[in-house]
Amino acid sequence: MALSFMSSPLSLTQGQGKSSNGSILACVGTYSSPQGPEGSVGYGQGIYLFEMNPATGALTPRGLFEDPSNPSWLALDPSGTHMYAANETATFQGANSGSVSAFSIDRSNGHLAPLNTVSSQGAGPTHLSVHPSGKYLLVANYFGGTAAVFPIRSNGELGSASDVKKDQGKVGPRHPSSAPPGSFAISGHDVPHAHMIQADPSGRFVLASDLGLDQILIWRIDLQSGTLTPNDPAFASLPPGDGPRHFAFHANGKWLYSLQEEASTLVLFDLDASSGKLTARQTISTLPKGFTGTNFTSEVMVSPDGRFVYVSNRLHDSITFFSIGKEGVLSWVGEVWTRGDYPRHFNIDPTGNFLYSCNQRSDAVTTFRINRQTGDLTFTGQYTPVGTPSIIIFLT
Amino acid sequence: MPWNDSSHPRDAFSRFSRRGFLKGAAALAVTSPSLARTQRRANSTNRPILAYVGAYAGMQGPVGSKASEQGIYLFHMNPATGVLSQRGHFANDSETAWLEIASSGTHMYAANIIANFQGTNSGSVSAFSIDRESGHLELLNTVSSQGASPAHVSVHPSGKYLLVANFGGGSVAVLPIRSNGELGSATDVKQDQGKVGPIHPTSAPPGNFAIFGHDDGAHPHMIQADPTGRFVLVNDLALDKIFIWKFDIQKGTLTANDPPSVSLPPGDGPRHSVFQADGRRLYSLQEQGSTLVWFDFDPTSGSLTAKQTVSTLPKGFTGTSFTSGVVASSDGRFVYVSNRLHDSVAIFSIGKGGMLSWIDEVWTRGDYPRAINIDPTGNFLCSCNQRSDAITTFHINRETGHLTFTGHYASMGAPAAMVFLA
Repeated sequence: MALSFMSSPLSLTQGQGKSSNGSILACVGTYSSPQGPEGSVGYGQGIYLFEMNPATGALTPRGLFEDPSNPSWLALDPSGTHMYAANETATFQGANSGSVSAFSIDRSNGHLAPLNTVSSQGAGPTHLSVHPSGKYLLVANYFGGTAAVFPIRSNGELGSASDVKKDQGKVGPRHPSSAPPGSFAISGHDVPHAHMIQADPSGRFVLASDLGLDQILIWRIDLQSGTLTPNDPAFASLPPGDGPRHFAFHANGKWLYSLQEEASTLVLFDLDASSGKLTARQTISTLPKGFTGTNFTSEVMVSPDGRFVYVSNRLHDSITFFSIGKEGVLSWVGEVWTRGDYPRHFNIDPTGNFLYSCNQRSDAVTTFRINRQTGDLTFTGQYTPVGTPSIIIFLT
Repeated sequence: MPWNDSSHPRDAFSRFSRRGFLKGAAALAVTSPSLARTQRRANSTNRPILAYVGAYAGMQGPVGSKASEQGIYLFHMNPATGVLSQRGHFANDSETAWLEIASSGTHMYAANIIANFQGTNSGSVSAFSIDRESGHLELLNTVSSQGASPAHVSVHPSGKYLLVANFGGGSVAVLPIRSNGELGSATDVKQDQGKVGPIHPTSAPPGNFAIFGHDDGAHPHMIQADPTGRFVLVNDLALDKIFIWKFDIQKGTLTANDPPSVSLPPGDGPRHSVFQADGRRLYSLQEQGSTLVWFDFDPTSGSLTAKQTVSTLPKGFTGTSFTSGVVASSDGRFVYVSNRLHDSVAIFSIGKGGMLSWIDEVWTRGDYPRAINIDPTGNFLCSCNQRSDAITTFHINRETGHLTFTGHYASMGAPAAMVFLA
């Protein structure tokens, strides 16, 4: 594959992806429907465009693409010229499904032009990603419990689904095995819930976290037909009830860090590049020593230099960070208060110097400076108002 | 509807409270060895401080997530370290929005934030006697709060009346306290009157969606007497007013003062307030506005005069936050405010004359701090993090007012109100 998703942030440190004046563009997706997240109102109005000052990290609003259908997850294609949005709704054109939208991006100003919107083939899509080939969009439908593959046409539009798979298996218990003492972290263990889907950097395998089944499903993808077939082994299991939500690959493609929502753990897996087998090697809490109570993790990310892992904790309302040691083993480094409630997502900008936390329930994005040597985060003092922010991505 | 005191309290006891009492007794029995140890070292300086925490569960995380605990928990606080240890559970069928201990330290009152007490559209309040040695609670009686969803109760300085604010019902009630601590039938009930303020607060930070309670009628959130006991103040969140009532201690009745109220900026939502300077100052906390307003209080006329408004959020904050609790240090030098969604405690110094100055903020280490309180030694502040199901404890620097996290999380489902047994 010409471009893996991990290599693009690295290439940006060499100067790509910046506009002529040195600024960087970012898009923020939101819950924008009266049926917003967790039964509450979404206060966003669609997808917001910001210009980031690479020296200070400050975000300046530059536009809004109005979209009242909860564009809660966004992803770019490898060329950075098209963006895809998961519209996290339960109805689309009368069917019990969400939808996905394709946009072309004007790289000079970040302007979004809608191309088309199709059914996501399941209710409540919470995640999507573009296969490294650039030929397929992979979609995880949380409430529908399905994974779907959509061909991407040469102009960036989405075609009809080339495959839809319903997650199969035994739903895990309501109470997580690994949560801290005093936890009431109960969610999603009623039916299968596909929460994330992404190809490995080689593009040969497609991995999908199912929070309800407590499994990471492993598929092989046929790039000619756009179809998924179960790998052997077909999945890796997490402890019952722990709720795998998201994962992140190390740039070397060999290490995968899986984040469990109900258990507040990170699990290091080895990915065998030939067999697709995942082998667990380390489990570490995403919460500080002594923590008791309830927390739901949300996002995990490896720093562009491959030295640190960052995790967001909803209810503890923190970003915790870990150093990556020999063989990928994680060690706790520190925690920082997000300065806002329920950080659903965070991201590191292309320079690698700033981290942005999308604080869903306090309606703001907060900016932290990254110490590239130690991994530490320091709050910049910057709050950027956005109603019910759910994701931030940079136009790389 | 009139409340029949002679029959209903016993019904209440037999119908649900006795079961709770037995559960509570059983839970406490389990801990008797530690209680015995407590008694043995009764004179030692390490004798634990008793605290009660009420549970009030609401939305928490993803769809359907909710802490399922109810009732009142007993904790022991180590006065040297601030560490809280759970020592008992008094179960009941209600959510507890507020707890208050009478100044005698022998009785406690709970606001049960329900709207269906004995088939009526009302909440209830419960009276307990306290075993000061073991912390054991014995339910005395439970009566109607005379309005839906009571959010706050306080004891009049005379010790003769319990004052109740019914958030959902828009009313306040005065309930006599009998000599044994039981509650009698209401001597007065007043419906808050006025125009509901706008949905959007006047004073909230940029980018806020602090929208709550300004839609469907009055919402008294707190009721308390001034230290003289002559006046009763009611913070009505929806009407954006603090009502000022004259209190008749003989009859237990409220009559409108002149002036009868003071207004906060439209939509700002006065929630709680705290008296200082022997009752000559009042600091009012606005839930939607995220402001603290310093009023001078005239204990002769009962008039409130606004002197200063400060934000409870740091410089540069944008977005949504809802304030919750306001407490003052016993020396009157500092005021602490909790911010839900910013999930912080903001610290202010009180200068000469009453002027507030921002000192610092501290992260609560948990979500949605519904209540904060300072222990009787004055050395620790506890934050009840309602949605993350833990109480976090902070060390107070008595000189500077600063808070430092002790590292201690005490687990409990949906902690919402906390009182210490002084």
